[in-house]
Amino acid sequence: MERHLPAVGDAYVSGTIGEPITLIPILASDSPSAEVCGLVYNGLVKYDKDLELIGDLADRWEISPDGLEIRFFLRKGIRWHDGVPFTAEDVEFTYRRLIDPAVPTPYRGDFERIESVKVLDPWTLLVRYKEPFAPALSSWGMGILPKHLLEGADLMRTPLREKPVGTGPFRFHRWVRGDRVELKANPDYFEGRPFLDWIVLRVIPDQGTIFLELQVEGLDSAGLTPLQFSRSSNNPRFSDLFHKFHYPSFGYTYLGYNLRDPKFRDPLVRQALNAAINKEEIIRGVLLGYGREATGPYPQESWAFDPAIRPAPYDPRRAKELLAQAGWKDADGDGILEKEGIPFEFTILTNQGNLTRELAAQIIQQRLAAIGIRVKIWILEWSALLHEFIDKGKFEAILMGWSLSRDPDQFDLWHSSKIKPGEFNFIGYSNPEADRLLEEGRRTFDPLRRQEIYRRFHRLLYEDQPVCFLYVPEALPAVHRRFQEVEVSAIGVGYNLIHWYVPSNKQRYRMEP
Amino acid sequence: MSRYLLFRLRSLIPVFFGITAISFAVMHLAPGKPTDSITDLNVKVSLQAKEQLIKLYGLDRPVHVQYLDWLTRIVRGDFGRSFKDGRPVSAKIAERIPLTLLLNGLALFFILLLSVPLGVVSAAREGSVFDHLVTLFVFIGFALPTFWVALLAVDFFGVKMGWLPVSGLFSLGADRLPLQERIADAARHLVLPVGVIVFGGLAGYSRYVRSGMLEVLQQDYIRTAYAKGLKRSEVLYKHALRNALLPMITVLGLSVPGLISGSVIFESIFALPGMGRLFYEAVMGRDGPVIMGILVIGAGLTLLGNLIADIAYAYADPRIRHGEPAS
Repeated sequence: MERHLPAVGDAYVSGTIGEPITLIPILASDSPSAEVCGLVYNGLVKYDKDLELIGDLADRWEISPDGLEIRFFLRKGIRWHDGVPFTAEDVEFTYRRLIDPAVPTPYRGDFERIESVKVLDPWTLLVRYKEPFAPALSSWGMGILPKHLLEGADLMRTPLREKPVGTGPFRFHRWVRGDRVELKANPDYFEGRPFLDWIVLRVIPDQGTIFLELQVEGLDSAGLTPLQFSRSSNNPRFSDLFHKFHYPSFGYTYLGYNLRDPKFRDPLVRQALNAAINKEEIIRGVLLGYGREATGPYPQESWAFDPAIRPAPYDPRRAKELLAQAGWKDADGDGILEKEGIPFEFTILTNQGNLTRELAAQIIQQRLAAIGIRVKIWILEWSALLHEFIDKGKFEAILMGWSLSRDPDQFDLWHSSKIKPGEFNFIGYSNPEADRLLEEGRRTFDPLRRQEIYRRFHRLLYEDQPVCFLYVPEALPAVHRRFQEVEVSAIGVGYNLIHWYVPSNKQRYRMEP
Repeated sequence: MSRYLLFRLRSLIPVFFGITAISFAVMHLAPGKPTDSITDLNVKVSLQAKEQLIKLYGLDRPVHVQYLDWLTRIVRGDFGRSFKDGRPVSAKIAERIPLTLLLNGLALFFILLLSVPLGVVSAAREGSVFDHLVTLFVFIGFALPTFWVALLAVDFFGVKMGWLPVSGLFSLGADRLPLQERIADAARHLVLPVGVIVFGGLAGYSRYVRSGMLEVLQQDYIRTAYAKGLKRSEVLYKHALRNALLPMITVLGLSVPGLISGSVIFESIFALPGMGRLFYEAVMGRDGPVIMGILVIGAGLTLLGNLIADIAYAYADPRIRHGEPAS
């Protein structure tokens, strides 16, 4: 491959299905908003390509031996996009807004554990927690707001919602409503000016149109569906223009059981279902191979993932044996298993508009029918599914997915205290050993000990099977070939966007302000 | 005439409030809340925070209190602010209306331009090969799913041939071009969406014209006109068409709200930020103030369209104006 000297210029145009909602990072909960905020703002820390936490606005930090205090030493000489210097006051201000009950932020939880935030000098900050909280450090990846522009402002109405001012590698340029957001390189960025002049995020609400725009080079990158990735883009023209990447996303899809239901209370039954469901078949048939079998709540890239866990093979005979042990037999010869006269049948609920889940449910239905379990599938509108069925505990089984934060703390998903309506352990999982590990994991700072705790938790969940872990889907982005330095890592593509460049003879856009 | 107008206007008021009350009630019967997009399956949000959010938006109050609150603001012309992004509803609607109006206005113009002659000629040559071909063509357009036609058209004209842009209204960097070139750029972007809407909409109007014409052509005065020795085209376009177009007044009146309502399908496929998408996103996000704002405008325009059609009818047809029974 020919080498070029890094050149300044050109624009990177990407597409998004939804329009950003607000460009205030502590209010942004949708992914397009988070994407723009991530380029305009910085947190104190960030994840590097190997999923290690490194300094961003913070140069370094010290954690007290009891785990209660974090002392942040901030980088000096950083300026906001309007030229005002960034100081620890801005961090303290951001914290105040995060815990302000009048601010509708979804991120308050992590910051309510803080006892106090003290500004020691303009570049030193002391954060004290009420109790040791290991995920605390990663929560400081939250974008820091400019105090001098937002002091006393209503975050729901401030003009910064639409015209953000941050410290990040790109400055906000303009937002054409419903059409696109344009960002411009920040020449004073503390890690150096990005090579690319412009970032354009185009709002294209239709997945099909995004793919068509990609083919005419109206977009420089887009996430593809498995079908687009393996078939529709499989032609020389597309390959000449685009690099295709695939890497596991941070999340998993699962078949969750309502553990309050007597059918699913016996772990033997749950293990039987795990043996009866052929995950490889789902990955091949539905994801066209672009996914991996999940063995627990962590993707393979996470340090909490226990590589020693081998997924149980697809084995319908063993599933039948396990069910027989649990007392489920076909006594009346109708092909359906019974126990105490009650046939084994249940309904899987899943949300509308997610074809992969619908198809996966059908494959599961067919495999379970083969061992004598009658499954019905019910596809529901998202809101109805969540609020009328899941929140109220009115379901037998659900086919859903979680996307995960980088920190392995999953207290909210599995702890027995989180089973109230509207909380996230809606399957009703309650296991004292799991509770203990989750509590300990939150309190432990030592990386090796923490890893051991979460690996044990991973093993425990796989043995106990509170849900049947199905697959980790892959992200399937395509990126225009003119960009150099594009690489995929555990954290995905684009983590090093400021180092991307286009050789001058291949630049496509010249956009003067 | 003025008494008739007054009577018509007065009857609109209860209808208008009925529409808003029912819309408000239905919106609240649907599962889900505007805070869902922030809280749904977001493990960072505690139960307590969820309740706080609901309170912050005033959603913990009884529905009728919320409705009255909304009503008192709406009569003062205040549409409120979007739950989703806190921006004024009127501003959100105002930035979306021009594009939708342009798109649907252009489409309606071309539909009329094509469907009137198509309808007239079909009626004049009823049963001919031409009539059958037109029938076939307009019904193909009517029957094919529009999203599919749109995607095929984009794939063929945009991707395979590269003649037309795929989506959006302007090319990147078009804002630096001189005005004329910007208009040309926008026009190129509008060819496909307008073309697809016209293709799908021809059937309705051309059928109305055709059946209107067929009815009129049976009338005695047409025979008289022929007997006078008038030219065929004169009979068709001067005498027959005028009367055949009367029912079109109603159809056009009913299409007034359609001019601003937009279409989720076209606006999504062609990535055009119009009213259809705004409404769809508001419904999906349970964004009450925006939903109600659009419904109020839609209801207002529907009623206005009906009223204008009635008045225009009364103007065009003296039998209605004078309260005489129509034959």
